[in-house]
Amino acid sequence: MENVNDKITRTMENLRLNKMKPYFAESREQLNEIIRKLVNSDKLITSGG
Amino acid sequence: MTLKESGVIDLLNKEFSSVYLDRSAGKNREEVEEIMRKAFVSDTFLTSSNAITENGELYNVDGNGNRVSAMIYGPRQVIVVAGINKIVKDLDEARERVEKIAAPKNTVRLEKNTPCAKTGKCEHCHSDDRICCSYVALAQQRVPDRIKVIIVNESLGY
Repeated sequence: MENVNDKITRTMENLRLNKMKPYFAESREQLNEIIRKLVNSDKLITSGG
Repeated sequence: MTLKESGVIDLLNKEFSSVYLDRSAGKNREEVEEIMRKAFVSDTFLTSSNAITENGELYNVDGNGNRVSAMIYGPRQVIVVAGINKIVKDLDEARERVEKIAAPKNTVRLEKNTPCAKTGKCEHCHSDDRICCSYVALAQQRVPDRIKVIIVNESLGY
């Protein structure tokens, strides 16, 4: 059985190759921190889906 | 579903309320559609993905098409939030995931009158309530890093 971490690492590497920027959040707190940094200077934020 | 479940919508409403346009604030269909159109000129569009392949592709099925459109072009950046349950081997597995998990569960959640809401799997229907109208796989991007993908170490959404 393959380690889930290997699967995540491979997925992130290939996202990078596809010119998308991958992040990994261990927790919801880390998720919020990443989002805060990415949208900090935005003038309009939307969501969907 | 994922954005709500993970607390991202709460974060946006609490800390970025002056710049966050939440489509659930639309009072009627016209207002909701106007908010969806504004997404195309937004700085950031946040969404999730039905599946992420180990090859680094994002696979999404959409009803209105507003989500996949904005992912492809428009917003300055797109932030995709996804739990580890969304990672699949390849596009075949992504399609299977949508047909057997994501679409049937979403039709139940959205109270749609489709065969899959009753049987729990795609029946390749032609229902007016069908939510899987556009199938989009995003592969290598023209604008580097426009799409950010945050993988969260838990199971989130369908």
